[in-house]
Amino acid sequence: MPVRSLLACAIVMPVVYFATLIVAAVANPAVPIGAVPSMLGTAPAPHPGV
Amino acid sequence: MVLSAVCGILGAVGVGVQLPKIGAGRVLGITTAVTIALSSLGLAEAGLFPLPSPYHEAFGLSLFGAFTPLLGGFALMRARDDRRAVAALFVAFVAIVVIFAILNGVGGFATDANAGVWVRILALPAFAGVGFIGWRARNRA
Repeated sequence: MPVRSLLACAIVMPVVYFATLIVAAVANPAVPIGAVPSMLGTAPAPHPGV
Repeated sequence: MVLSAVCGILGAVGVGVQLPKIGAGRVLGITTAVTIALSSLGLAEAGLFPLPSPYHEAFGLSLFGAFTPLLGGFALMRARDDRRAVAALFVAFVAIVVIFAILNGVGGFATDANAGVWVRILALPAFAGVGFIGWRARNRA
């Protein structure tokens, strides 16, 4: 794979990520994207093996 | 998320190959690429194991992405790239540090209700940094 194509993948990466978020938010408007309970320690403790 | 992770991993290979070629040095070029690859693996992990899976953020791989703009900035500086491009990457790194602090409770801005939004805000300078480094390196390919 040519290096220019590989670098194009790096350029496309954030575009794909944020486009996916937007599509998901539009497709599932009832799901709040801000609510991530486990982020701040309110979810069950992580698996001991992790 | 998995698709963007695949793009990130492929992009990391390109960055690792191209940055040394344009004068960034092998160490800086490859370490920048490694941070992109590891954070992309973290992204794939997060996509494959949605919350509340304990594997969503296993090994903290995404955290490596915080260093991508910093290392990329030094790499582009060494490659004598445009100073504004280098400055943009350093600003992105500072933004990541500030947002990371907020996510860890500084200022009391992040709550259970909005932590996800802050994570996405954190992803903005981190992932945009990946695209930016790819763009700068591609310009000289």
